[in-house]
Amino acid sequence: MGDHPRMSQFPSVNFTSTGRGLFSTEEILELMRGECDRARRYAYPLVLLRVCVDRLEQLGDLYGYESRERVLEEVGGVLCSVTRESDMLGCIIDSQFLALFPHTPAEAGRALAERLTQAAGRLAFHQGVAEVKITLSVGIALREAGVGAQLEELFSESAQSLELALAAGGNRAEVYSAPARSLTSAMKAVPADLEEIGAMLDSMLSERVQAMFESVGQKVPDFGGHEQEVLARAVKKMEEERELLVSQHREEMDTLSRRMEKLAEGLEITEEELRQALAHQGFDPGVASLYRTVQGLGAEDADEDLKRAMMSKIFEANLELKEERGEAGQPG
Amino acid sequence: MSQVPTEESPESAKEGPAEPEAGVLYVGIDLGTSRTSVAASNGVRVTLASFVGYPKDVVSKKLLKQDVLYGDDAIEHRLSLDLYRPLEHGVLKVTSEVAAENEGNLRASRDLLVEAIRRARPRRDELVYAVIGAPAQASITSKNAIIDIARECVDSVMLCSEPFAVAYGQDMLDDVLVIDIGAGTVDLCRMHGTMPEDTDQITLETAGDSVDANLAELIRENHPGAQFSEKMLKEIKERHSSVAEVMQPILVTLPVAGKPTEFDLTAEIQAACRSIVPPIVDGLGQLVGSFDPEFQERLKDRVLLAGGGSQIKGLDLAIEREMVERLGGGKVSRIEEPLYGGANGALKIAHDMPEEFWERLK
Repeated sequence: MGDHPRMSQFPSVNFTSTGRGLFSTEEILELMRGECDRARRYAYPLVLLRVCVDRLEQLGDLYGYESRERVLEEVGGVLCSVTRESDMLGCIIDSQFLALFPHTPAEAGRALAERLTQAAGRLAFHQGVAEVKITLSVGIALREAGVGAQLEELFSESAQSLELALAAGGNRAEVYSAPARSLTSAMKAVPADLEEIGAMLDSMLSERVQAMFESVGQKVPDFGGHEQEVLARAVKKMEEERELLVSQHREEMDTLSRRMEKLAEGLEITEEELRQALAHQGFDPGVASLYRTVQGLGAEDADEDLKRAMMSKIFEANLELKEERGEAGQPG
Repeated sequence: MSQVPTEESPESAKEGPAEPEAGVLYVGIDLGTSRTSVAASNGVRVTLASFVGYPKDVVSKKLLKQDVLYGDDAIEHRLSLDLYRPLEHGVLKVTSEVAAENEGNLRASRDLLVEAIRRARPRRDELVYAVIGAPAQASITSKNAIIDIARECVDSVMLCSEPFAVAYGQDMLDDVLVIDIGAGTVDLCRMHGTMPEDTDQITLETAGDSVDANLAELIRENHPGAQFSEKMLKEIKERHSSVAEVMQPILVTLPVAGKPTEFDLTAEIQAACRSIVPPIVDGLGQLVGSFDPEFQERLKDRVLLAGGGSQIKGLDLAIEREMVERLGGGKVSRIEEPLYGGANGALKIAHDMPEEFWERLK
């Protein structure tokens, strides 16, 4: 790889026993971007492989970190052995390798991935008495000649195809294929008969209504083809009931809010009284108020008229006493 | 104007009155022969023995470090004091032929009242309006004497009948007979929905002091060698007084020629305490008999027992039994707080009295 025109700009990592280096993540991405630009400009095909060692983490857990490193080194060696010097190899987050093959058509790319998995299958690691088999999963992203290649798209497609390979059990290569287009886009693409679509929707609606009745164990009534109208009325009724419930809840909330405000007012008054009581350092008018109530000195009184008359009598008796004392106190 | 030492004004008092009665301390006073009880509208309630003592000489004054001693303090140090009990039969002792004695009692009465008001803790900026309970049939002279000394320490004062105050405090204003047993007098009052008049009230002198006198006489008769003082006798009575039919033996240790000796005073105490029952029922009979015949039964069934003397064990039942025998029936109930019944009622009267009345009596 040291012959690559731009490779000398990056310090390569001596990773493999063959003496060929692998680019770091930043380096390989930079190189790939340049290669994509050239592929678009000169209209040549590209293949991007994303390679992953199956169950590498478990291997590391079972046999230690050094075993894991040995496996990666051997796989890196295999990658180097099946690729040309003009191809670009790099690693991302350790356990995955990226390999970009310029001037490589789709069939060649698939064959390359196949060779890679087969070569890895021949690798064998001995850990004590145990022999550990190595398998690879490969995600493939392709661009035919003349189809514009964007690095981000290739990168994403290779990741998705690798996920497919891993999900299928590993030890295989998967090619990225675009998902089926949506119904909307299909409708846009294919001019459709609106009446036919309307009939289809009516049928779906009818089935849906039927399923609803069956789900609650009731016989499906005959709507006479007026399912939409029935549904509209049902929805209207439900909305009315919902409005009623909302209204009731709102009233309850209003009542609760008013009660909370009233309690808060009472709390403020009590807190103020407590504050004043504490400020008086034990001389507590609050206690006096309570005492007056306990002693029956409150404002409410059933015998108010009688008591007023009695107070007048007591006053008159005392006034008489005062006047007598005044007269007695007069000189002469 | 009040001469009573007062508390410092709290912060809120400076903010201005929030209620009509703000700035006024209402006080109810039961100025009793044995105890003076005070209830005030600020929640203070206090009772003290109606004794006032002045150091006999410079030595005792230096020893006691006070010019005047009150209540139990005064009784405790009585040997170093000129001790006064300024009330007798519920009124001031100002009728002695000895002028110096009258003067001493008046001074003691004034000091006692000043102390009672001080213990109600009026603030410096508060007007003090007091209602003082007086025996139902106290003389004009006695009433004037109380008012004269009270005006020196409160801003406005009124007197009212003690048994009426008790009934008013209990909110029992209609068809009730009140028995207020004090040390000096037993006051009976008939409440019938109007202000009781003289004919509705009876004052008896067969009260707590007469029980003491009877007990002393019985002990002297039955146990000639036993030595005791008035204070010892009062303590024995207050601890063991009972008129119950069945009671535990009352064993009391009294000195005989300097030697502590145990005496069984069960019979003496029972007899002395029972001595007040017949006069009370006599009085009840008078009040019931002169009442509207249609309401006599109801009146007999609503008898209220109050005052320190009502704490004699079994007294309510003893009066009931006597009423059954002599009046054909009756129902007697004790009030919950015998010592404060009069003061609480007087406080309630003070509180209910219109402001203008207080103003006019200033």
